Amino acid sequence: MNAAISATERQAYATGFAQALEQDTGLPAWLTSVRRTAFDDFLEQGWPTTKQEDWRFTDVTPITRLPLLPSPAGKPHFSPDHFAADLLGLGGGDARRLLFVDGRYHSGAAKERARPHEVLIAPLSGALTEDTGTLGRVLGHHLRSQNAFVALNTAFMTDGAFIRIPAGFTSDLPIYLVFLAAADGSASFPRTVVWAGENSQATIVEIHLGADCRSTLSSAVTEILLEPGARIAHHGIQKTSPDGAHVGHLAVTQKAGSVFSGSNLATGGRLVRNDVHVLLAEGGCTCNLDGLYLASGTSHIDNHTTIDHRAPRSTSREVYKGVVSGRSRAVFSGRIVVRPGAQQTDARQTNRNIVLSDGAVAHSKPHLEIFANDVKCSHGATTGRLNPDALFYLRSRGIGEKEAHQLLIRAFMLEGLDCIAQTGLRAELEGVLVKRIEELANPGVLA
Amino acid sequence: MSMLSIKNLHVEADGKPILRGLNLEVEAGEVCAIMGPNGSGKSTLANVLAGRDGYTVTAGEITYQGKDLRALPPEERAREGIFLGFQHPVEIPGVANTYFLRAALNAIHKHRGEDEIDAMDFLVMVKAKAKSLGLNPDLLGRPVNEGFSGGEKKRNEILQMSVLEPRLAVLDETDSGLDIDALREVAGAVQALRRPDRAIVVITHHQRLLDYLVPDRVHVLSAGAIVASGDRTLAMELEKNGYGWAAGRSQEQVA
Repeated sequence: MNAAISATERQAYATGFAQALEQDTGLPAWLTSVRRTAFDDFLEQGWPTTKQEDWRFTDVTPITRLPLLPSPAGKPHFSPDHFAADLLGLGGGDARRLLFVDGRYHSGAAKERARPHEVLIAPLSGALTEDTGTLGRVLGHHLRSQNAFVALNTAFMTDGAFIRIPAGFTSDLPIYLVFLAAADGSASFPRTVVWAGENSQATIVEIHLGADCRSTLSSAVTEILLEPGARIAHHGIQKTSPDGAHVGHLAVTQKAGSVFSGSNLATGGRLVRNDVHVLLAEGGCTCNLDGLYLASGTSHIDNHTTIDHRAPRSTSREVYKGVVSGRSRAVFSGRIVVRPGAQQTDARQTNRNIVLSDGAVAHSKPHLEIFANDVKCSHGATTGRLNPDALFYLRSRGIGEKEAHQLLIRAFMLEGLDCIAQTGLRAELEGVLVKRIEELANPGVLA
Repeated sequence: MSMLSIKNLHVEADGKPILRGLNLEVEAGEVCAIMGPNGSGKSTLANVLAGRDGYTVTAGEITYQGKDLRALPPEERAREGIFLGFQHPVEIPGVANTYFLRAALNAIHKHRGEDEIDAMDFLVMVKAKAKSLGLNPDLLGRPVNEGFSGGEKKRNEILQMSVLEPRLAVLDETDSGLDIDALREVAGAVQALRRPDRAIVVITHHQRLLDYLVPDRVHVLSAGAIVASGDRTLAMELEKNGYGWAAGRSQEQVA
């Protein structure tokens, strides 16, 4: 049961959509057609409501009251002071970093042309006019949900990144995509498309930040296709102001023998919703998903994941861990599907929550759908407080109460970064996490 | 002045009285043993001294180095030099033993206005101490107490004591769960930590520990109060005659 878009809103969206199409000149015809279809989809289905199982705990009404239209084209501006310095600094100065502001390309290595054996890291806006092959075969083909946010992203698709990793290309140097939501009241619709050729290897860090004290919305979609034997790591980070919202959709398709390692760190925001959908389309794949979330104040962080085993002999492992404090809410819904014929699937899922205050709530919903008989599947969910015996033990050795809390939260969460192969990147993200824990664990929040 | 002075201490847990008018004086340089049957209040005394939640002092005074201990949170007590050797050391997954110990030592240094210890110097020092305690140095890099055997946990407690160098160490049944060789080694290690300016309170069921760690004073705790005090011969008599004898003897003394 969706919430219909009113007549007035329809008018506003239709005008906005017409303008968007007008602005984005020089795009291929197939894309315009994809966007039109998505826009019609959006108008037809309307916003999700809490009557739908997938949105039961997450009410999007507050962020959909105003028409969510992309900001007008033109060189976007931002003030670095409005963003957490450590996060804004990630990959700073790196030749493999693209920076986007309010959904539009701002700066960074914009190498729109690359020779076939080179990795291509380009703004989508440029790539769409250059790349006639790969991009069109990936973009729009891996979405497994067409909810209003995904549809709007496809319709508006302000800009984003296209990363093409040629077959056999391997690199340990992370590629950074930084998306800033800067202007108050802005909505942005960044789209990222990754094509990983056969036996290629790469690491992508995708960061979404909302300006402090601003009400911003970003609705991001990332599609990743792993050709046979590809090994791709994708590390996501989201942080918006207490008035900002982020809705993300990550769709991954894995072909034979490929390995996908995804991690995600969500900290704060009025509403953060992350959907991850991994399709293990062919046999012998490995998928590791690690999720961390730190909710404080009145934040709402919702992680919905689906791992779809469609072929035999694939392994998936999923660990989501969260800490909720203040009056915040966290939602974890983890769905594992094992299709008929996906024999010898090995799927494990864990969700663990620590609740620091009486006013905070963590919802956990593991969900297994198994249609094959020769499989190993397990799931477990726990929700509890910090261990009072451990707290006392630390304090009895001279460690202060606040530090003891932080130490235990850190110990609980840091495991979520173990999947990061590069020690430098791991250390950077550990620093980011530790800083967020320090911000979180002050006695006022803990009370 | 005593290092620790407890006067007429009454403590409740879950609304039940556990300590009922306990008096105890502990001097610097002294090893004192507190013996008593199960349920006599031994562990309660240890926990109250360390400041654990869940115990209510309903009457009496605890004075440590001239300070009222009741007002201090556990970390302040530790920084002032109180150390509790846990009967059941807690496992803390994800926190490396050395990291934990260095954080603790630095907190104590900071309290005293001293500099933080250099990470390398610290590691060298801890490794040397672990070796002298017969603790496998591999355990230093592992999470605190996680997967440690009973003996390893107790040795780890004594390692912490030797690193943190407390003024008053309260060892709560450090001998429980140790085999006879480990008991001798652990007792020997504590013996080596005796100092003229340090007091050690050893809480135990059994006299055996006291063969290796010879106490200056022995107190018998029964039903929440000290009912008999004496030198080490009291422990031997207890071993022979049982706790009932000590309780009876106190009645005679009162009479």
